[in-house]
Amino acid sequence: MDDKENETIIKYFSQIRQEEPDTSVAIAAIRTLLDVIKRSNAGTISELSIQLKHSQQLLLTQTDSSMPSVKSGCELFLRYITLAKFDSFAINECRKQLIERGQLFLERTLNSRQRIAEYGQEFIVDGSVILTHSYSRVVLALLKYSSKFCRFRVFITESSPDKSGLRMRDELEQLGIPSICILDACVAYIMEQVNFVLVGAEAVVESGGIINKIGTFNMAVLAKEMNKPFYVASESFKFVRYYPLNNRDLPDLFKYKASTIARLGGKNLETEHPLVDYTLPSYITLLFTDIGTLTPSAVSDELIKLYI
Amino acid sequence: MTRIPSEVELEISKFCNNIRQHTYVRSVDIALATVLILKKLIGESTWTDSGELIQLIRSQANRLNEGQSIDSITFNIIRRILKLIREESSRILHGRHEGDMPLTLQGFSETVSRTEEKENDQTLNQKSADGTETDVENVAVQKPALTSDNVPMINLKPELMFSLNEYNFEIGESGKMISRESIQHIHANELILTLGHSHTVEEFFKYAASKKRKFQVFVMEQAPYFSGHIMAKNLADLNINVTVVTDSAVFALMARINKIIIGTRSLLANGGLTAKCGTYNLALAAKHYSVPLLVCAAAYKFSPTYLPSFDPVMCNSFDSPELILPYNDRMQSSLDVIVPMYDYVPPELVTLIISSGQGNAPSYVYRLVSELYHADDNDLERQNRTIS
Repeated sequence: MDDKENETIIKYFSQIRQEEPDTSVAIAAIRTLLDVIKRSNAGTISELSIQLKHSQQLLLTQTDSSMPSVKSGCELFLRYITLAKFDSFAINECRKQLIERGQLFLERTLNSRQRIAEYGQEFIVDGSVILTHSYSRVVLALLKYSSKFCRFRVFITESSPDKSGLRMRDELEQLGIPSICILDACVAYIMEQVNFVLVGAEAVVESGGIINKIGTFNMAVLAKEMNKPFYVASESFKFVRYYPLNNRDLPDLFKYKASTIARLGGKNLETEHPLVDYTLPSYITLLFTDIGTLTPSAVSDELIKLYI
Repeated sequence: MTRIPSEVELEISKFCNNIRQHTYVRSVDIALATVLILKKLIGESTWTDSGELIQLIRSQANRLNEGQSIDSITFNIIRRILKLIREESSRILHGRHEGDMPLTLQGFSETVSRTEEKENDQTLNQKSADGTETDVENVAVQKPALTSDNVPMINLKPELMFSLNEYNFEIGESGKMISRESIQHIHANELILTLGHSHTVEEFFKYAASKKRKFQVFVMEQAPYFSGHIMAKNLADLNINVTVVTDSAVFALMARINKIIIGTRSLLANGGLTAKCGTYNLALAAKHYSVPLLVCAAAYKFSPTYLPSFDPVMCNSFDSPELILPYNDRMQSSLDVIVPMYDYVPPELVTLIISSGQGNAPSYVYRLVSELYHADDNDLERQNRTIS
């Protein structure tokens, strides 16, 4: 693929990110891939699949979005459309089918937040005090839905370095949910006051653990120490087939922005602040997903069912 | 349209009354009574196909569960029978059992490809589509009708009755099946602790004793019901060496105990228990001394629900204070007496769950639950709720 094509792909992706801030990164990536299929002039399926893999790589290395989400979204999408059975050998027919399947996949993902809200809502009872971390659209949707049934209060960490917690607070306030923004260093202080912790995830890995904004792991360890349930709300398209053992294991691509890696030429990354951390499954009580409320051990089951 | 004959209506109210008055002593009695009611409902109501039958049973579910909590045996049995109906219809339609997983990652890709095939054939029957809710054309159609292809009554009924009888038998035998496991868990000269009276646990000990195992049992008396006394008496009648201890002695005693075997009211999808009040103390003490906690639970006690664990009042019942403070006591008017009946025990404190034929770790319960029930039936308790 030439530079012009590359540019179009990146542009398409960035445009979605800019114009529709409500769209999840993974969905933006999936839509970009779908667009690639639509515009592709590939003569064979295998050429098309090379193009798609190339586009995925492009999104991973050339954009500054959450890498775990892009990776999980793209992989699930590719896996899903390649499960298609083709009736004819004509490439245009096949492409049409792929696009149809892709659209169906997208349609389903649109409903997932509502489903998560329905599953998670039961765990929020009148008078709950909830602690959450950073900005998460799923958590926002879940809290919004729950606010129809009961009253509760939310503490949000400010979440350095991008201070996305402030945005979360503003949006919750707009929904009429009482919310207070706290310092990241204040998590331990506040933990005794809360009933449970509820966070989103950038990716859910095979072990049942999650990769999320830096600071999530702190929160999980503290919640465990103080015997508070730690819940995760995440769409199933964020499930990724990857098994980290510890935080050092995470690939640089996950931990740092692509632009940072490029600036430093991939060296001396220790001097940079990591942007995500890995929370071990043993710290997670339950995961609310669109395929049901799962224990961490159920996640690998779902992934295995899909990939074997 | 479905219609429930008046005799069945009567049976249902009788069942609800019995539940309210605690007529059923053992949990297996509730299970068998529920199966019987559903058998009558299926056998004597008029319905045309499987979709309608599922709809009918779902519509009666909340009524049957009146006065019981969401993790009740009644709900579990209804869910299991709904799954049996779905399985039977799919077997009749496709000639084999199809794994039903519309709610999994993989399930989605399969359902979509099947829907696609149908679309290609231009024969998409609104009622029989097995697409998910996202299927735009079918949004208006109600959920149960979507998830199973409909089989007419004539074909379904005899098959279904056969599997219901089988299920009935399975439930009746479950206590016996669990007790068979006892010789693997109870070893010679062990000190075993149990709480209150449970028929399952009693049978468990009975079987081990009948195999000439020598062991000693400590029974916590479970105030204010003191059902432990009955348990102790029954075990003593079997020549098992048994000692009754007060509930408060649990921590003092724990250091000497080899293992704990208890029953439970229900088993939740995360492996947690709702069991007799006092079980949580027992489980925490067991954890402190690293004593294994074994739970005997028949398959009908597995519930696909979760509890918000921080709230001990949810899923609990409160009994009359009469047992603690007699009605004619002069303090009666000035005191609040609270008698909670159940405890929630988180899965971290449970070592092993013994159900018919096997022992499982609590972390595996979600798997058993997903095999026992259909994902679409997990929302029984939610179906009539409206947004306030």
